[in-house]
Amino acid sequence: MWRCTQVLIALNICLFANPLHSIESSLSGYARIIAGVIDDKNVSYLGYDNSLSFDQHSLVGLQGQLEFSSALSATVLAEAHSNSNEDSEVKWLYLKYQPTTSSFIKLGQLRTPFFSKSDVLNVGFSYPWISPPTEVYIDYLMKNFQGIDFRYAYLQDNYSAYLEAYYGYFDGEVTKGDFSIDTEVTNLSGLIGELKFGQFSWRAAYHLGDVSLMIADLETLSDNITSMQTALGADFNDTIDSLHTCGRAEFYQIGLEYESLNNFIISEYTLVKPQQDFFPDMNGFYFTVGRHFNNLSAWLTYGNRQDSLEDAQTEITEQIDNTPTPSSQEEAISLATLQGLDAGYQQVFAERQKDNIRSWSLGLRWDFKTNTALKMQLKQVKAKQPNNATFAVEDSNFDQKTNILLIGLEWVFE
Amino acid sequence: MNRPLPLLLTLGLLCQGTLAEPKTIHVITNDKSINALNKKKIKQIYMAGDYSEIEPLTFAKGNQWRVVFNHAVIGLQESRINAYWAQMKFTGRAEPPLEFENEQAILGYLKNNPGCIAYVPAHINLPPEIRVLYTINY
Repeated sequence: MWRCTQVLIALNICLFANPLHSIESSLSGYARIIAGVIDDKNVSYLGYDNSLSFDQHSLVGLQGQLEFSSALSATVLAEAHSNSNEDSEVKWLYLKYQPTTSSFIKLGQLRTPFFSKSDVLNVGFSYPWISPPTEVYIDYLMKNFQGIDFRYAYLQDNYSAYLEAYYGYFDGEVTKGDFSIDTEVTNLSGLIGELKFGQFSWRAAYHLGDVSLMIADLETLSDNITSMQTALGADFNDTIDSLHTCGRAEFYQIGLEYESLNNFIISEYTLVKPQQDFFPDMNGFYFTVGRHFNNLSAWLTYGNRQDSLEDAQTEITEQIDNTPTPSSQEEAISLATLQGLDAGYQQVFAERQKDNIRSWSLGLRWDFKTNTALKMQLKQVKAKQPNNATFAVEDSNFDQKTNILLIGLEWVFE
Repeated sequence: MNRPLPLLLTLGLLCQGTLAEPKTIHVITNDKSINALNKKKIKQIYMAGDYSEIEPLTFAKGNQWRVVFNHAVIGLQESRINAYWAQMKFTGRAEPPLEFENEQAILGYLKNNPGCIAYVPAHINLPPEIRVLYTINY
């Protein structure tokens, strides 16, 4: 399917390129060198531990653009990452057609516009933090999709309004820490509205998609429970449904920004609601307030993440409780198998992780050149309960609280 | 007693922009179809990029008049303007205004390209075909 999109882009270039219009090309890019360290032993957060490392967020991006006519252009953006969990590859490849000044269509491989800053997540020069608040900016949501994106602008004297709609699919791996899951999202679509009024801008977005996660262990467990249900003539349908890794997921987002000569505010709230019981509903929120002092900015961010999980089903447990004492070896084996299945199911559900965290961050940004900024971010993260997805912990005495220091150099060039 | 002097110097640097003499800028065009503009509309044209029917022209980064214009009309620090256009550029949404090194380069482009607006310091002598759309005192 991706090959089809590439061919379509090439065909469009041939069909719509105006032979009288000389093709103009441009090259631009960005780079970030980020160093980070945390103050706890045997704990990892955002991939950093207690030794200074540069290998999590450092990257280089290069964007090439060909303008075939005043209305038609093609853009390719490739990134090289220091983080081995991030693929160094072409991230964007799209054709942009702008028939009027107020609208454009993009076709190809695009950024998934979940968040206010998701289009520029790797262009650190464009935002104040080094690491955008992870309470909202969930790093394992797919960052790209294949499809079409339409954007319309409505400019009035006192305000500007923008409407964006997209449709497409994602087929690839979703990575969290060292784990990768083959994922397919079809009917991926979204509607985004933006309003800019004076120094304020608002953004509201709704996204949805049919998600299929390939988790072999869950499929095997589900198959085993289905077989047992058939053998016993029991009703384990809710249990089997709770192990489904395919279903619709919805995503809601609202954002607010205020920026004046001296002060700025950035805030976002997000809610991710998967239909599947196995995965948590994710509520994220952050609020950043900052002040500019010429080329120096200082800011403070509060972040909060509150995930909620559905309880495990109890059909198999109830079946075990209602089973009379086995009177034969066959019944004893059947009961033992059922108990094993129940134990496996309950364990799988008990091991699900969720993020319940709050954080405070303090940061500085110094634009010492027009295209280069030096940043510092100090963040304290506290989990509200153990066994959360925030930290990778090897120390059972960990107090669920850590401090991370990030220092970074952000650069854009053209 | 050693502290007050560096502190005063720092404060002085921070207040530099606000204590400087007032500066006057004319927003100009040579296009008869462009009518008088207010500050909000000028800001919108300069920040909308490709979405605007009117093409805005600006000075290159580091030019003092660009800084004055960005403070007085856009209401943002120079660093924030640069960050904003980095965001627009790498999202493929809009391109920043065309940049020119000096007033003569801007006037030269403006004379030959209808549909544009620009800004120049008020002390610049304007050719007769150029109209002033708005005056900014900052």
